[in-house]
Amino acid sequence: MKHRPLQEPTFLILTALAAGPQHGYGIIGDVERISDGRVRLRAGTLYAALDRLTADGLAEIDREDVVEGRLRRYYRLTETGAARLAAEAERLRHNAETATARLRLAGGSA
Amino acid sequence: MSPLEHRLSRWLRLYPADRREEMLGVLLATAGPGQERPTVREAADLVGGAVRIRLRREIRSLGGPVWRDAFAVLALVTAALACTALIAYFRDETMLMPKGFITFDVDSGRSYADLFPEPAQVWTMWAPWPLVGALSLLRLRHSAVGLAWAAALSQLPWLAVAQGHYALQTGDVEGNLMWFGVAVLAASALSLSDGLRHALALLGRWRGAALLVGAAMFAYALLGLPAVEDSLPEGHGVVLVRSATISDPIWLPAAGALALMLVACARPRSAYGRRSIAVVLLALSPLLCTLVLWFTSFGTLGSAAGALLIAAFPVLLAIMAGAFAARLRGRRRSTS
Repeated sequence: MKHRPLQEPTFLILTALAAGPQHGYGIIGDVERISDGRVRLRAGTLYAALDRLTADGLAEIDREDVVEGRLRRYYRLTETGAARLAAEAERLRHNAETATARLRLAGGSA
Repeated sequence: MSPLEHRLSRWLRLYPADRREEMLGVLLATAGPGQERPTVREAADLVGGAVRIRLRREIRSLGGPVWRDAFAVLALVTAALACTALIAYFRDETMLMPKGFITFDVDSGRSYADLFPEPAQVWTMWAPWPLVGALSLLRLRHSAVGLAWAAALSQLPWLAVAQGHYALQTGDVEGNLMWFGVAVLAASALSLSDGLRHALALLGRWRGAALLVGAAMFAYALLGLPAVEDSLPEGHGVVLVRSATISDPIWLPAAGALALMLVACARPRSAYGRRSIAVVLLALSPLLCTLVLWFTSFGTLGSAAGALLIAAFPVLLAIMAGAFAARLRGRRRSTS
């Protein structure tokens, strides 16, 4: 089944979860690190994405903790989510390689 | 509770309850030192996130039991309206004339007879609807749905035979479209719900009775209102020229009837009740619009109701198409 390409914030959230379960605040920090500070997720965007990812079965709740009286929910990548992330990474890699090769070709002929 | 926490909690009421507590923790953790209120961008992000989550969850729940119940209530309202349209066959505009007079608007020259987008006077178009209601009340769901679709779709050939090209003329086309829409909505809602018996069980005895009284009142208003016994001069055949005003009581029975139908369905504390209000309001909106405009301006009567008709019915049909698609997906998933 063909999937639509993932949007960048969604791709980065799945990438953050690929290393292991994380809570919301952890994901925000990790996404900022992965993207070299380029993408700073806000809470509304993050939870809209997490709500969709859990509904689509790409991520799921790992566990819940209470830290300093506040609920902290950890999310993890599902097998479907990992497969989807791998397919997306492969698509992006292929596109990047093609673009690089074409640029080299253009550079060589110039 | 800090001022920031208090303000964030208020913004988070936009979200489903299961998201609020965990989001509050993240928002407080990401807040700047000394921050007392969310910035405009943060607030906009919170609103955008809430809209996306609520909308997505709503779309996913379209095939579920809550919407099924809301469609049952919609079926009851629209089927009752379709039954009242049968009354139009007996409609005689002289009944709308108090003491032989008819009230006209000065500017547009339109009479009370033009108040509603009226149903076509073709009894075969409306005769099946009481039978549809009876079948659905007897829990003969498939027969009721089949007959409802046949009645709704056969309106087009009946109109072509009875009215020909007049069916598309201004003044007639609004009424024909409006009532065709009501019939299609009724057939769709019956297809997607457990029928009128279930709707009456959901509403309970009193609300169900109020809704049917509302429909009967509306039928009466459609048939012709009692003469206004005020200072009309005696005489026959004289056309009285008078503008519609807000104090003119002539619109009250129709407005009251629609309001009664709406209030009877309104159960804002239940999940299906809130959705019932939304779908019934959409279904009644063209009629309500014509009534509101009755005491504002005749000139915009047709176009505003027409605009609502163009907007409201397709939205409602799109919701029902979404519910149908969600059910199909659910069925496919359960068989695979």
